[in-house]
Amino acid sequence: MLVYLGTDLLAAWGLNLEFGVAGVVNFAYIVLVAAGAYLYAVFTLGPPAAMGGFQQYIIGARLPAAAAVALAALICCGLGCLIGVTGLKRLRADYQAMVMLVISILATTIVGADTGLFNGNAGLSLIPNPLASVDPARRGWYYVAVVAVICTAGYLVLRRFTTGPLGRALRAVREDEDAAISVGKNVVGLRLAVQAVGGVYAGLSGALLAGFIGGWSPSAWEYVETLALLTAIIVGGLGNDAGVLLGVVIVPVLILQGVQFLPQIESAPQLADDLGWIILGLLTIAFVFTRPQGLIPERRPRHGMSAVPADTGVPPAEARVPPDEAGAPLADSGVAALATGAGSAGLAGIIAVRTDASSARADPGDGGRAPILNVDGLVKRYGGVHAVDGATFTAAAGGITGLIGPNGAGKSTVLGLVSGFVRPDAGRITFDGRDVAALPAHRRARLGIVRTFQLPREFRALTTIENLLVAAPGQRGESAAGVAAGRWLWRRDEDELTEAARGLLRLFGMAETADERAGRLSGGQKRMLEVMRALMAGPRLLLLDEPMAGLAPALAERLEAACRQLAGAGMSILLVEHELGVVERLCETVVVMHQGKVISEGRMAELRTRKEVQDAYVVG
Amino acid sequence: MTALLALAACGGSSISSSTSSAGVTGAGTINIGVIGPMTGPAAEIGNLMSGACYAAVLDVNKAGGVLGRKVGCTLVDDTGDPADAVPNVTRALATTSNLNMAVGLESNTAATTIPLVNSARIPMVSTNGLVAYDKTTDTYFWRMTPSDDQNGAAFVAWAAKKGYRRVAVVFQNNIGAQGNDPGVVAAVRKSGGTMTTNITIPGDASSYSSVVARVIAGKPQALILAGDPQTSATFLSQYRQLNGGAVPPVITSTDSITPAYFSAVKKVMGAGYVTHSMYFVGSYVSPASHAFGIYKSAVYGASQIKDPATILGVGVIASIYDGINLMGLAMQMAHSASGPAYNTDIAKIAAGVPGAVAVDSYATGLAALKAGQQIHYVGVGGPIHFNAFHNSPGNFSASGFSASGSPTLLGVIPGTQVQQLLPG
Amino acid sequence: MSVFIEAVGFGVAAGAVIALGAVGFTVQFGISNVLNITYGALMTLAAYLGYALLSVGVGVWAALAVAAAGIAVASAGFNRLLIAPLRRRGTGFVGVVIVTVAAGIVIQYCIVAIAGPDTVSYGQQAGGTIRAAGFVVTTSQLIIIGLTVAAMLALHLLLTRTQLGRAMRATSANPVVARGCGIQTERIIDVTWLISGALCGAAGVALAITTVTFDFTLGPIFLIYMIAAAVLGGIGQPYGAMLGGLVVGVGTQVAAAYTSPAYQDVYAFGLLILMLLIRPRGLLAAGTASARRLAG
Repeated sequence: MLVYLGTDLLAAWGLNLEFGVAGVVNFAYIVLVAAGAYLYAVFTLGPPAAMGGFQQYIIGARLPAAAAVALAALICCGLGCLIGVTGLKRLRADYQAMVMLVISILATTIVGADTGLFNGNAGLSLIPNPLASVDPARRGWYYVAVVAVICTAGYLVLRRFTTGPLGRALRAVREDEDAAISVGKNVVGLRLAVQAVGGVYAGLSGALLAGFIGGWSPSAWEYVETLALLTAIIVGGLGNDAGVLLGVVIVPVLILQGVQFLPQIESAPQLADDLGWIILGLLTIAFVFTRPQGLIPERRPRHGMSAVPADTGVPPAEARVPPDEAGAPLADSGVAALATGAGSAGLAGIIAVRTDASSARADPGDGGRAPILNVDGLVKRYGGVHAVDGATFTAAAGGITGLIGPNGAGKSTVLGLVSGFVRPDAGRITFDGRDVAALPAHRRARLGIVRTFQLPREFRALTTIENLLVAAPGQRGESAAGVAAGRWLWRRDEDELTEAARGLLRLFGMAETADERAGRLSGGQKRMLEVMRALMAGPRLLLLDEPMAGLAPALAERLEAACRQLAGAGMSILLVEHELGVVERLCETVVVMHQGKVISEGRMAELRTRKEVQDAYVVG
Repeated sequence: MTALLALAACGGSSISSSTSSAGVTGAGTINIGVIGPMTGPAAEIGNLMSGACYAAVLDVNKAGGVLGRKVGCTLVDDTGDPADAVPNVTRALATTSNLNMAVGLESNTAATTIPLVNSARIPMVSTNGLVAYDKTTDTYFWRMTPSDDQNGAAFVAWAAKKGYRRVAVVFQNNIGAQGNDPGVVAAVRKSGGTMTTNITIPGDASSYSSVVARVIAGKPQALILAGDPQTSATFLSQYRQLNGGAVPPVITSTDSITPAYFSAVKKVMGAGYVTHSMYFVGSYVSPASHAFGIYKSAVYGASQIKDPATILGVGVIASIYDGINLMGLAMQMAHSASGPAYNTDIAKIAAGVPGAVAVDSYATGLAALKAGQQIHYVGVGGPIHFNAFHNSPGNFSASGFSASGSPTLLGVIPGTQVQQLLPG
Repeated sequence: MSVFIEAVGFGVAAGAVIALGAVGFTVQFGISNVLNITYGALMTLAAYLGYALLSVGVGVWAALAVAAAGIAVASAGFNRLLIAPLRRRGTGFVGVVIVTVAAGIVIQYCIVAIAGPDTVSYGQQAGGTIRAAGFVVTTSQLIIIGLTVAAMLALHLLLTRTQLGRAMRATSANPVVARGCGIQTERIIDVTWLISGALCGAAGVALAITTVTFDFTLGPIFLIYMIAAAVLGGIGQPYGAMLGGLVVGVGTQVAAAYTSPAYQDVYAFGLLILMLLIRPRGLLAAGTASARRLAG
């Protein structure tokens, strides 16, 4: 029946939002659908005694159908959040999945056993049909119409979440949670939001189903249902709403067709049924094997710019930068040109806004330059090992500070501690005069502490330019207002950001890769992407974690030049690096660590002579 | 079946149903909707229901049909799951021509399917046991079999008859049990017996040891044990294990007097126990009556029926045969196959106006009607007394398994006796 | 008190079967990072294999051994054929789960198609009943408990004393590094699946012996208990799974002894949920940081 198609579609879309787009594995999803169904039932059934008392249940209000459906969806939204909260425990994703599975099973067991709650295993029946006033002969078609309308509305609303900046942010979270945090995305908040919305869809689906069937019992929502929905989504196309529609239609049809082609054996009518299941199973396996992205895979958005109105005053800055392709040396004029470019669209504009604030704060520190970062007595233990054992140093604003030391000295841990990915056991971290030790990583990123990773963590399924766009902070398109208002609110922001991103790509010689999936880039390109992405996040303190490692000389040169220019434009950089040559050329101050402690601080040339530094390195 | 896959079910199952309809589905054939689980875990019940229909159709057509038209069985698969039942029944109602009567509509899906049939104004004789329908206002609903709480009371009545004063009540956690329990509890109290334990167990578990221990501790004389074959077999075998080989007699519902139950329990308890210590209580069908003889020939005569003995042993199923006869005669009397036209005649024929001729088969009833007489139908299930809610619980019987697994009658419990044990 | 002791005894017996299965399940997770839903269907297959052997007169314990061996091979084959290739292609966690569900369905319905949907029975294999110190156990339950303990001991010795065991632990902890150290990870993974498959098969037959009567839904229903036990003890931790099995088994039986048995699962799972709130990694999970966290 088309009604089932519609309700399955709603449920599948919700699950697709959670899993396909945002990467949240929610094996308990069907519980939300069931909740919607039960809630609708108990909101419309009226008190148990009035119906002869043959079934028991809680609540029992006699609300009009539309109100009941809405209320059910709303409560499911809250339940979705509740389920999301358990995910806050930061368990490994697969472990989380199993917990969800167990929760789903638990829910069926409890509801089945507790007869007072929703009438136990017998389930609820005689649930009023929302279209009870319609003539029964027509009722089916009217219901189809109602469901179709809700589906269409649902689809339009869904698009607000799955496309545009918010969709992009969700995908980034799916691809690499930590990288998303490093550019300031509130992963926890986004996840909760997604589960809330997914909950609404699930609740709607359940409520509509219950109203149509007139009955609902635990047998309708075993834990395998979630898996069946996931199968439909995966077959149709993960992350793609149209694909999900296809999947929801195809998977049941596959069984139907599969069974049709089998001869009907009178004496064993069950056999055809069994074979149908077997065929479904085999087809699913074949599908996941050969075409895991589904029939209609996730679309790769092309980023053309919409027409820029003449009055925004954005200068054609690109015109001054020579069309740069791979191999051409970095043009000084390029960065300078962008630096002087007016308007917030320019790269320098992004940096300038940030560095203005920090250079304005003229604190009497050492050498007249205010320290932007103050690390005091940081300690981090892993079991019995002291990865960081009382590290203390400062990084001056507007310059490049090097952090060096032999392997195992604790350098990366320090970066992790400063950026918020690692919780310190003791010590203080002061950023621009503010104690940030208690702030979560994504908040620090928003404040301006942006890090890169030792192994490039690109958002693989996003295109190169999307990788950059998603990093930009404060995008209105990602907020609730942006979703509600739609494209017209954030279109201009998007255009400006796109322009800035393209400029950045040109600068680093990767303009032609803009619309390619980041996963396809070469190692060196990924490293550059990492740095560019960090820049797009508008850092005041950029933490670079061994950026030169494994880079081809040409690219390394380019990166070095970029760092110099950024520092010249006023950005503060903390550079962890093994290549001592690079450190010497770029950094005014260098901090040396050994076995978790800071053993020396000063200019590179000076440090080379100090005995403790030599000892630490053994090799010069 | 999953809700997602219900989409497939709505296409697939209906197709299988129409290809296996019996009788000539030619123009003008009156179709009898047999709404039951033809596939799925409860498929046995569906099989029994269709069997009764085939038998009735055989007899009706042999006597000349209804209003000169043949009748045929249209099987509608409710799969035992409301999610699939609703679309299948809706589709059948919309697409089957001349669907003028319905039978079956069992407990698992009744609450969702009965409203559909009732709105379509098709008279139906339902075998469901839901207590909800003790007091229903659905005009087209007719029930000639007892509801679950009455069945429960009947269990106790039989226990009392056999002299078992201390009974342990163990029910599986499903619809039927939830319905039986209140009846059992009330009846035990009223009969003055003792209920040593009243426990609900989850189905198909691997270990009931703790529950068994509790039951044993109560020292019951008999067990009222309602569950599916697997659950019952596991429970009994673990009881036997823990009680040193001794297991009290079991009283359960006629629904369980099936080959699957027989083989499952026999394998763990042995033939002796199964044939001597198990009682199946349910609707009474007198094997000695003339009507039963006619029914029996029909069941053995219908070519589609594979296991006639089992069909004969389950009293509830006979009500389907009676129901079809009754509705057919009502159609004849009203000179119309349309539900609204003949529905009230059902009650008239069942009650019989003063001076009506007693008939016990379709053939004799048809003949009497053609001769211009009023008739009073008393069928395989005995006299029918529809109350204000179209319910006629009837009498009860206790049966057992013979060595070969076929049902044998052991005793009768008058309906009045059972009603006394129930409140109100 | 005697009721309690009795219930604990029943719980231990039930828990032994759960533990046997849960350990195999969790080991598979540890080595291949897969939530293997097919596990339940394979247990069912083992049970039916045992039934077939019993019907031709093979003794029940011999049948258990044969079935365990058979499922061991089937499991290893399953990994080679499906799981490993999928992992190589980088199929996500959920994709692999879906495949295991599908494979489970295929196996299950093949069983139905061949053996029919009705129940089959092992008949009374329980042997005599022994009553001692307030406990009531059957001989076969004792044997199963013994079997579980022996299997655990063997596993423990294997993991800690042999080179193979060390290689298994290394591969489980970090396959990349393990390969780098010269361990033939492919072979180790095969062996692990063989061992866990044997446990799966043994658990399947043991379950059938305890339940006596069963049908094709045997495994999948039981799977829930094993997952719960595995999660309770800490995923990937064999000893944890054993402990978890005991807790679930005893929990359900004690609950059934004192309250409504219909809720017995609820109490057992309730313990699980409580555990997850307090200590999400499970009872015996290792304290190291998760792989996705950035190491310092």
